[in-house]
Amino acid sequence: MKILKSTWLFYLILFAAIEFIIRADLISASLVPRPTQVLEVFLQPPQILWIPFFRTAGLAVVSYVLASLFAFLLALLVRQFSRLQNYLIPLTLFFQTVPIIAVAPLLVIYFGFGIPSILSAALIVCFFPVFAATLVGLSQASYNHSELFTFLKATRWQRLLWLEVPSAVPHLLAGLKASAGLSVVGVVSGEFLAGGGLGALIDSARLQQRVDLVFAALLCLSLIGLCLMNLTEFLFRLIFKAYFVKMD
Amino acid sequence: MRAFLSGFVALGFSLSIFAAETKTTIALNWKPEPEFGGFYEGNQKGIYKKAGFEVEILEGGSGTPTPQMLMSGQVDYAIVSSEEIFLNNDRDPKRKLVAIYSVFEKSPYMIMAHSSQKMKNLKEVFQNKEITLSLQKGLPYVEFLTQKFAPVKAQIVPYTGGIAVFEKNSKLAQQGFITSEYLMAQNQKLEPQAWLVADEGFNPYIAVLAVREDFLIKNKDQVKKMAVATREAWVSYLKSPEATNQLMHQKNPSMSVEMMNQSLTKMKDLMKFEPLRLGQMKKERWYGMGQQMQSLKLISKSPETDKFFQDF
Repeated sequence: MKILKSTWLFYLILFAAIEFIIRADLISASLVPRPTQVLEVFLQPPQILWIPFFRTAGLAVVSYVLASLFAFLLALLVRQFSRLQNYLIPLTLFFQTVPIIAVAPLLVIYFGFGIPSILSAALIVCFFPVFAATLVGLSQASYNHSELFTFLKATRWQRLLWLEVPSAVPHLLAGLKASAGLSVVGVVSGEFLAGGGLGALIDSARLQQRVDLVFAALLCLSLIGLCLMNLTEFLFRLIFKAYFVKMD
Repeated sequence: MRAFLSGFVALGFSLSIFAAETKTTIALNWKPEPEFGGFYEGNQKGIYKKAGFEVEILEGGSGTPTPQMLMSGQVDYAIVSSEEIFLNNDRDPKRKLVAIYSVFEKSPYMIMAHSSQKMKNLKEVFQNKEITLSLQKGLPYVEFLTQKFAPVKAQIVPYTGGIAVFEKNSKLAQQGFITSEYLMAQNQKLEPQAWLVADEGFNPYIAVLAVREDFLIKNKDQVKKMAVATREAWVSYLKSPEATNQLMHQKNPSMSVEMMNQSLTKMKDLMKFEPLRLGQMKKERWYGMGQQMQSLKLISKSPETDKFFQDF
């Protein structure tokens, strides 16, 4: 994504306007912080923002990788043994549709406070997009290619590995990018209840009416999500390219 | 004749304005429970109506930002805690909030542990490595306790509301209200042992009816009427809470009428305002709280506590 000069200018003007409005006391600084006040938070000692940031970022990466791997492998399995679909789809749909904020308190009761609850909240949230995208992608092989595989008497696993998985790649990328953003949602929802990281920071900053800290934390969350999405795309293109070189 | 008639019409018009009720809203920061009984009573028994108000009571929930709702002008009256008034008035001194009535004289904040753990005092709870302490970080009283009992050796975990985790783990201690979580635990036969935070030296006014300072200056008579009517409503509720408890139970079915009665009994111990009137706050208490909030580094400036509450 190319960011235009005018985009930068637009945001610069927007932030300057917000700064002015709050300095002129048209809106209370306790409702919306000044942009410079938010910037100051980033310069405070690391235990205020940076340590929670790295904890949340770390958990988001771990849950994203675990959920994606698990979802991908499960989708392959379901594709191979289509009967499994009947049993697994209702369950995955349940986890997809139930709001994580309603499930998180239960997770704390089952898994206790701390990382297990947070990871399970994130896994629930970011599992489905990869699972669904892979399943759809696997069925997108072109008719001609499929016929060729039949003609060459390819085994079930050969067909999966060399025909269906490659044809699922574009879908998979879309699913992975959706999951990247969702992993942050899942981790923060978990942290609100199970503690630690930016989730707990937002919760306590809100109680102390520190909106500057809340906004700084929100920016960090968005940054984690964006980084994960872009990193996914970058790695994907790298692997994708290598894959095709090998195919040639 | 015409002049007489128009004068008559004008008089009739202005009288009809006087007769009209002032429509207003009180925002609560939690669901209908006895700690708000007086406000519901005010509507139920027509006390607010008699004082010239048509009051809509807005229920709250977990994290309802009532100070911000007041500040932004969404509502004119809201329930906050006195700590929230300190934080708010420190963050934006130009838009102060002012307390006009306090439901509790003594704060209902407590920490409870399982009595099977045989803790002698709160210090033991905080300094015991075996204990898991469920506290909501950022709350002023939690800051107070963690500073008072430093070094804290218990493992601090977030507060998730209710008593589900307390029920599951006998080594867990948690925060709550003596009028709510403690009673829930008792009713579930969990044998809780509780310590009031007020007895440890941190005793803010809780469930405080507050307004914006500019609103108060412009509408002093109206605010006074509201405070006086609220007091009358609370006196009435404490005398005969049955009908209002029934109404609150309909609005909040998860709290039984029996539980409401138990809660009210506990509340009465914390509502001993004598020799002052019900809901009336003490200057010294506000001043002392201000000093504590400052020494806990929760507020940066020395607060002008005289402007933080108004006696009616």
